[in-house]
Amino acid sequence: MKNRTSSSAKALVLFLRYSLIAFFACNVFFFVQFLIFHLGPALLFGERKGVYLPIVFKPTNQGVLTLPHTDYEYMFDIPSATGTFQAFGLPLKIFYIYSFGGIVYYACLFLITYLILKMLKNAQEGNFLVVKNAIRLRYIALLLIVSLLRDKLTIIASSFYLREKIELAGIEFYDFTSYTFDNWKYIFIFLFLLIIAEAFRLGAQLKEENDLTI
Amino acid sequence: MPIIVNLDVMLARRKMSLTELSEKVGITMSNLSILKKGKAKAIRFSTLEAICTALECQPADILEFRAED
Repeated sequence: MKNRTSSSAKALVLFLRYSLIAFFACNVFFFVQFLIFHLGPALLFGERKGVYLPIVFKPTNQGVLTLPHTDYEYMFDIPSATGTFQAFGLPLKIFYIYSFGGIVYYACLFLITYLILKMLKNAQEGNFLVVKNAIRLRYIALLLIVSLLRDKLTIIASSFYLREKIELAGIEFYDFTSYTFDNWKYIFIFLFLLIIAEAFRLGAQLKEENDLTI
Repeated sequence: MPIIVNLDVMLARRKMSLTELSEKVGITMSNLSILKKGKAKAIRFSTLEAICTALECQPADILEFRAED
């Protein structure tokens, strides 16, 4: 029974490892694409491709909802939503800020994937509960917090910048809405991950001490 | 660490090999090696008792305190 559990756990770790390697390779491909077709031409020739900026908006019109098997029609409205604003030929400064955001995103993604891969490699070798893994877990939590902050800052900054400058019939644009802070709850999960990392570190230290007690 | 393990000195005095001690005490060679190299973090009283019995010595013959500079 124990052997079966162990082999299934090993298979799961192996599956996760190879899935993450594939994910990592895909993202490297996208990053290279971003460097070659996006940032490269801007740095070398000052050529600006389209940028995708997040924007918070609200449709001014109400919609109609008709449920099946009922004679009623319900009015509804969308209080706030985020969408992507695509623009070509924006000032170079904005383009660079946007690209910097992209690089931060990819850096976080690569580092998190790399750290998880290292942890899985250790798990495969049978020494998962080690201090190094605890430190990796802490870095993962910090990088997740950075990536969340980056996401939120991008939305706030681009909404703030674009709000007064764009017009689209039937849509109002905002800089801040309740939606902007909607995903902030994730920060508690990441902070909890930091606490788990600290508990993991203490556990690993105890194990190390126990292993070295003759 | 200021605690020095003089196991190798005692083994030389008693003209006993590490393998022999391992068999007498019932501790694996790798654990004895960790102890000999001073990499151990702690030692159980039962282990110390077994080593002292096997080497016919006192705990002070095996463990020594040297203050760090």
